[in-house]
Amino acid sequence: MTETDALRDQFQQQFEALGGHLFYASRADLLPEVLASAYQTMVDRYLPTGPLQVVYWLNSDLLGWDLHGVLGGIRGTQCISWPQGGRQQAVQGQWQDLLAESQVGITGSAWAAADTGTVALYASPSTGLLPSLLMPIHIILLNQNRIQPSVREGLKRFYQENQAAGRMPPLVKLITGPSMTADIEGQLVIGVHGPMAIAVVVYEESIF
Amino acid sequence: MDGQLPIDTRPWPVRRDAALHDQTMQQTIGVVTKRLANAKVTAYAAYPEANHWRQRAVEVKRQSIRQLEEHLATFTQQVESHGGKVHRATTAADAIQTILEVAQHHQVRSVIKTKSMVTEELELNRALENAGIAVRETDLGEYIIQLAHEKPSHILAPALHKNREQIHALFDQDALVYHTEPPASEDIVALTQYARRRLREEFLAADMGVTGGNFLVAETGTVVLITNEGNADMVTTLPRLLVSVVGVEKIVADWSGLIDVIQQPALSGVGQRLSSYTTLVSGTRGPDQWEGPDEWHVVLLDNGRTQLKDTPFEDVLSCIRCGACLNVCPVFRQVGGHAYGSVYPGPIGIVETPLLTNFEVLPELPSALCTLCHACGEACPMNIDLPGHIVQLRQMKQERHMNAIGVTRSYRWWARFWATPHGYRRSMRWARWGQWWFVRHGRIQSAPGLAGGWFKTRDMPPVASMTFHEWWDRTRGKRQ
Ligand code: SF4
Repeated sequence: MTETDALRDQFQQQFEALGGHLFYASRADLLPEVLASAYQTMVDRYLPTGPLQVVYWLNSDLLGWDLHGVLGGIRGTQCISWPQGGRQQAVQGQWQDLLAESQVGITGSAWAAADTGTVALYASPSTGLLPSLLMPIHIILLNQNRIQPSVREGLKRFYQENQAAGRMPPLVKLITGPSMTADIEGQLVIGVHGPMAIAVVVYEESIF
Repeated sequence: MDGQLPIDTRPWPVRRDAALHDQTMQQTIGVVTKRLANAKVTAYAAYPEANHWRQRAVEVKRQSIRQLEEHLATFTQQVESHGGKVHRATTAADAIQTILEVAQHHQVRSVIKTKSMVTEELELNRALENAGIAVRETDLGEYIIQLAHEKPSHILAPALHKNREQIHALFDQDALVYHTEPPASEDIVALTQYARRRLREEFLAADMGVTGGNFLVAETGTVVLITNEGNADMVTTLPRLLVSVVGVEKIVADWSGLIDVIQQPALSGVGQRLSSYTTLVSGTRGPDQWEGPDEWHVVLLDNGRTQLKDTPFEDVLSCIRCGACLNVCPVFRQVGGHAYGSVYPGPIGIVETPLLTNFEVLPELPSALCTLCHACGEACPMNIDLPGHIVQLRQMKQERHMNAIGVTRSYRWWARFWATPHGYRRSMRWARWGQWWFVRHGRIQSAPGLAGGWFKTRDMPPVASMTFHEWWDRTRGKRQ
């Protein structure tokens, strides 16, 4: 077993213990198929009826990939990609409403940590955190080379990559499991404000 | 300068009796605190390196507090060079004024909030409401107690004292007010779904977000927020205006310090390696960015904190509000948070409340709500000497003549007896003669004079007809 495989295994163990689902594309050309089956599994399990609208953005190594071709055939899914060219203030409100009405968010991820099952996302002009927050289902694409042994290591690399540029990204989020609460009688309930189900699709390398 | 803390003005016996008669609260608090305390032990056992990092975290916090002013200056400079604005607030009143000014300047009508003990300390909700601004708590537990017009009963799980029937009734009422569909049933999932739906509307409509902060990183100008529900993400991502109110003691010097402390609240508080959501805010959004605040204010609150610097109580400023000391405290497990009458309950509340306010409020806490069992001292991940501080606070009260004369006299009298073996044995003999008037069902149930108060809520076994000492004298002692 290579080191990357071992890290992926450990990540999977932690992530699944938190209630997340993991899908693995072991070869680059399998990614579309694995993503489609991950998507199908998640929506059938957590949203068995009703229309499906996806908002997505991708990691830079997958940039330009049109998910409509992959998911459009599944229960008539509508796919909307993150707007290119940065924010347009005039449509900000509409954009937020559209996100709030969607059912699935698909996002890339900056890195992950094997020891805690954590995935890190940053907000930038071409990426956002709301697809990881407003929809009932969140699916994360993760390049397996970005899995760090520990959250400590991940935060260290994050710092080294960004502090050199003089500043940290203004808004960063580490996700370690689905949204949950034990505020009523101490009983655990999944899906309070954020997603009630999260999945990671780990891919080997870029297909493009 | 002394801090200001809101208090429950009911006297301690009233608060105590209310707590001891609240069956719902006792039941849930007992179960949940034990579960959290066990989860902490299990999490550490399964994570071998965790204890080593915990010790590093203690060092980081202590070191950061030692150079507090320096780090706060760096933090301010960093935040301001990344588009934010930092305000220093000496007292609670200063902080309120700053926040109101920001809100009024932007004609804010509605505010969404994450759970924050500091804003409880400020009674910020009341101040905003008095200024005509609607406030919505978005942590599920805080939302429940906001609807009930109550205060948190546990720093991590504020609505632990409420059961599902009570919460259902509150949500039904809320649904009437907001003309929306009530929860489908009394089921906990249905109740949570109701809160999700209701709060979602408020998230999307709010003009301003208010957060607390678990850590401040001086080097990068970062505010770190930890939640399990995801509400801090909503509050930091949606409104265009964001205010973070944070105690000055939350500072760590640099990023590597943050790495050492970041897992501690979840590990020690709930037994998770990291909470579901950790949000790091390091500035306003760039011009092209869709998300994050356009305007960000950080209010650094002192409110009595810095006067603990360079005193034997300085380690109290390392508290990460994990709640571990509450979860193991036998008194807290019985009476819950409300009985303390302070925003900060449990062992840390006993220590912090008198210290922050220079004994102005609730001076009874160190004497009345601690059995000195030392469980909190063992549980505290930040090695804060809670039991030692409680003893010292009792001494300070005595030095400041804050105890009733009768109490002081009776303790002195008692101490005189028990200071020597001879006096101790004599007191036992007297007690044996005198106790039979007060024994019911084989236990001492009352006592004369001042000692009577002790028995109001307790009983104890009578002195044996032959004490161990007497038995020893008669058997082994003679033989030698
Ligand atoms: S005093 Fe220690 S155990 Fe208690 S909340 Fe603070 S850090 Fe946690």
